[in-house]
Amino acid sequence: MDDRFLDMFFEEARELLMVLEEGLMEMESRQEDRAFLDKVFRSAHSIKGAAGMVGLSNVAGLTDKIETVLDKIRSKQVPIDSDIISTLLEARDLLSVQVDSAANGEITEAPEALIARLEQFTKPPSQRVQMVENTSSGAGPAKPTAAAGKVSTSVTSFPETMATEPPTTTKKPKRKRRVKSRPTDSSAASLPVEPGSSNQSGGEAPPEILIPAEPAAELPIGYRIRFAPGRDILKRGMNPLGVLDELAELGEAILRVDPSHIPTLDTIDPQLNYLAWEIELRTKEPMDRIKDVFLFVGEDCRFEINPFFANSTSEYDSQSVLNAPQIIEPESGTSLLPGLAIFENLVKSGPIPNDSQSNLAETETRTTSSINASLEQSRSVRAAGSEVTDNTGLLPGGLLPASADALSKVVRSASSRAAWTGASGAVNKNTATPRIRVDAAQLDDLVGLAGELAVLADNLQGIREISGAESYRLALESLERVTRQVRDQSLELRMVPVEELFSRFPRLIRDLADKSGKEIQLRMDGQETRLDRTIVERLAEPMIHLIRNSVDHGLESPEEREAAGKPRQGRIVLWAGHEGDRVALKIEDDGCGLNRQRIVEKGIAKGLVPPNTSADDPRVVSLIFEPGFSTRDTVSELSGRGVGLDVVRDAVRALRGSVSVQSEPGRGTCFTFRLPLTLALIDGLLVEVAHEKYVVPLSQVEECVALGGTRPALSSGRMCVSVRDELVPLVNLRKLFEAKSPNPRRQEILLTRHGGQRVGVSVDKLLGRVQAVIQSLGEGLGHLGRFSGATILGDGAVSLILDLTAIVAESRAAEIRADLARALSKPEVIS
Amino acid sequence: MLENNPVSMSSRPFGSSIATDTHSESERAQSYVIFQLGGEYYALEVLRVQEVLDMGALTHVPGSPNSLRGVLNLRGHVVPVWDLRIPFGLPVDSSIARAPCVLMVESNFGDQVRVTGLLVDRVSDVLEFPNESIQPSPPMGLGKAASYVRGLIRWEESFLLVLDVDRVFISLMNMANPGGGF
Repeated sequence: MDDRFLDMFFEEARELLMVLEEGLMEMESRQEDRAFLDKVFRSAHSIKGAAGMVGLSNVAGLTDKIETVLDKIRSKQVPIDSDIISTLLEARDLLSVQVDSAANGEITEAPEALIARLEQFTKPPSQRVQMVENTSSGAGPAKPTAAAGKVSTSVTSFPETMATEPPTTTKKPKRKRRVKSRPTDSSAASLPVEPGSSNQSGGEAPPEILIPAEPAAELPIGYRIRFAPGRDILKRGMNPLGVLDELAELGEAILRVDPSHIPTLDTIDPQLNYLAWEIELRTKEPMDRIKDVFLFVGEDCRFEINPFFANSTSEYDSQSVLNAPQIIEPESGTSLLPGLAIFENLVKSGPIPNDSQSNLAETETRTTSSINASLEQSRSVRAAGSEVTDNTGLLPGGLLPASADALSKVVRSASSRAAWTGASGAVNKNTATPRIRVDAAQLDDLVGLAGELAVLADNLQGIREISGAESYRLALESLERVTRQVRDQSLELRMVPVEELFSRFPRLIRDLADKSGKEIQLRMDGQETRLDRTIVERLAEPMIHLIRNSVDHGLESPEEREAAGKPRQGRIVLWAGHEGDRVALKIEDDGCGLNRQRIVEKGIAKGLVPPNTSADDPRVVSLIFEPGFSTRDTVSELSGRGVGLDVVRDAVRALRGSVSVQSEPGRGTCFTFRLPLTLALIDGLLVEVAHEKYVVPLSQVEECVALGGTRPALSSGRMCVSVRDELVPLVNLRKLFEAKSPNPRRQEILLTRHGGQRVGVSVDKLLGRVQAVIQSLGEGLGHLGRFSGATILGDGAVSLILDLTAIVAESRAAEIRADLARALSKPEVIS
Repeated sequence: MLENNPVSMSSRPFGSSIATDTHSESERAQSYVIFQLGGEYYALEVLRVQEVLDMGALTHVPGSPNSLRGVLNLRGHVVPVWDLRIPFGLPVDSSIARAPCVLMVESNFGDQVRVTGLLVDRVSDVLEFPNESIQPSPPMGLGKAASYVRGLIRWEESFLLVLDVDRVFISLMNMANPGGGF
């Protein structure tokens, strides 16, 4: 298998799995929305199809089970409840694991218990929650799916959740059908295609299949399908036989191969496909189901599906249809002609549906009909009110929000038809602008280069001052402007909406609520806020950590909440938005709040704060971010696995962000992340310390003041400086960097904020503002927290980027150590 | 600043054009960069060396381990430069006559290939030796260097010590990051 094709599969599968997850999450509330259910179904089906194509039979097998349940749901044979959703979500997670392990070349099989639970749902309600017997007793082991062997005899174990129910033995309701694989023509060229002959099936599939017992209302009894794969289909790693197998699964299929395009032996290219097939499929499946089979065949494949109905059975049995496209025996020299004849024939019987055309038509009808449907809906909703314009697609003003929303979605999907005609509509997110996938690493390189370009262009601006260079002035100005645009645009490319981060949390909270038995309502605001891609990726873990904490330690049980006069349902709010040039993310709960007294006690016990610290001190809550700090002594299943909030703080600091916490007893806790818009570039202040230049992120500097002839005030042994009558502790960078040269007479002080307190950091000189492209310091230096990276200055020299927050923390830790050492040497001071 | 380096090591095969003809030959022989460190001659496979720079201006990193000489700008990339004298237990004495050079060595960190600078006393030559000329190194007599040497090559009445550069990196990282893996 072509690796590139596999990679494409993994990428696509992961996206589809996300679509599936989101779909499952919303399914309960949108079970009346047929288009939505179709979309969910389609995502599962697409995964199955793609997995089958790349030969991942375990993935295809499990997806098949999911798909079956989803199909029952959308045809309303199975009601949606929380149990079914949970099971489907569990199965989806397992799929995700399967896909990931397949990417590493491993095969993960689905546990039988899960399969059994899924299969429970696909039975009529009366027979559910009963012991499932081995299916082989009546009708042969399994159906010949794309992954034979996956279903067979798997249902022997008993799901734990069902263990309390009385086990009764029943058989699965089923009907048998034979797949005929008879050659329709005696000519040597027509090949019978047998189920199981493709490389995807196990090869030992019995010729018997089960079809769901469904009432067939006005469905056609079968389809005539012409399938002409493109020449390159094999090169793209697809096997057309997989499609045929999948069709054969749907019912009784008679296949006929069209060999007319096979060229003479001397011109044949064994890597190309010259065959086309005609299939007569007897099935009660709806048209959509048939079309789904062709989801993956790709753009250069042609297919045509014509339903036929019960009254035309005679025609079906006769061979007229089959032979309609006349098969002309290939003769040397006339190999073009048969093709023409066939296509002429197709033209006669209708338009040649090349892939995009047919999809287009399909989408068109689907959208118009669903516009009509939602107009109907809105009409009934607005029964009391004003007149509705006719249903030609004009939107009446003042629709109720819900239906307006549905409608606007439909309209949007209509406007994005261009995007819909791609291979799988399920992946598209209703965006009209064409998009391309880009290698993230290349994008990072581009951003880095654009930043360097901006620095270079900055340096060139000095030329303007040189006499005689006036004629370049205009060019230099344009250069500056264009470079900035290039830089801004490339930075913009890295930005993604916070939605990508937030979208996983409804699921998380649902699971947590299930496990903890708490009732939780989730609200998410500001999902459109855009952030650097890397930040979004790296924030997931910290946010999950905090959400777990909120559920576990913050929110009370429904009973406790009622007793405290709060609504039973706990509330978690995720919020994103801009705060100045930073992005803020908040995780807020209305739980019991932090226990300041316990925090302060623990802080004193650990020597993190002086023994007489009051619980009201604003710094107390920040203690929870210290390493190894956890007030809860029992380890719960949800959180408290020995990983503290210091991990969260470190992760956010690594992104040049900060995390803070506010909490009110009994009212709740709010964690706030503040993050830079982008990681690649910072606005910085160039400073000098002991003849070396450093860059300080401007976002960390509140103010710069000069420390002139006045001497720094000493407060309890610590260096302090008075700024406008406020005593501010001072960190001396020269001391921290162990500079040997004496302090200059005059120093500058950068004022920054640390744990809610103003702190000054002294430097020798301020040299001006710079824009800096950040690079990592390289391996082995990651533990040097005081530098967040390095950058290359205009003159080519490397300058280190200071992290003032880490520097203040570092010097404070050193002071506390020094204090401790002093206290130990003078024991009488302690008492 | 550092770009005026005279020694170019671009003998690293970028294309595979030479592969067909010299294949059998390259299986039997390897080219090595020969450098001096504390009076000994060492050999390092040319394939691992991206280039050699003259020692230029480095940016000092306050608080870093003493084996880190600083960071430099390698055509727009920040690259750390480590002094090989430290892991080899040699004195770092600036008075010793050195014509220090920085070997830009490629190494794998996790799934990334990084370029790291190694400061040596002097780079003297590039030589080719057949693979069978490498002898096992003696278990003693090399001092601290012993753990970084994976063999000896007899050369002009003396021995070249074949450097195991990956061991060097591991030890540098352990020295830089005591207690913590990465």
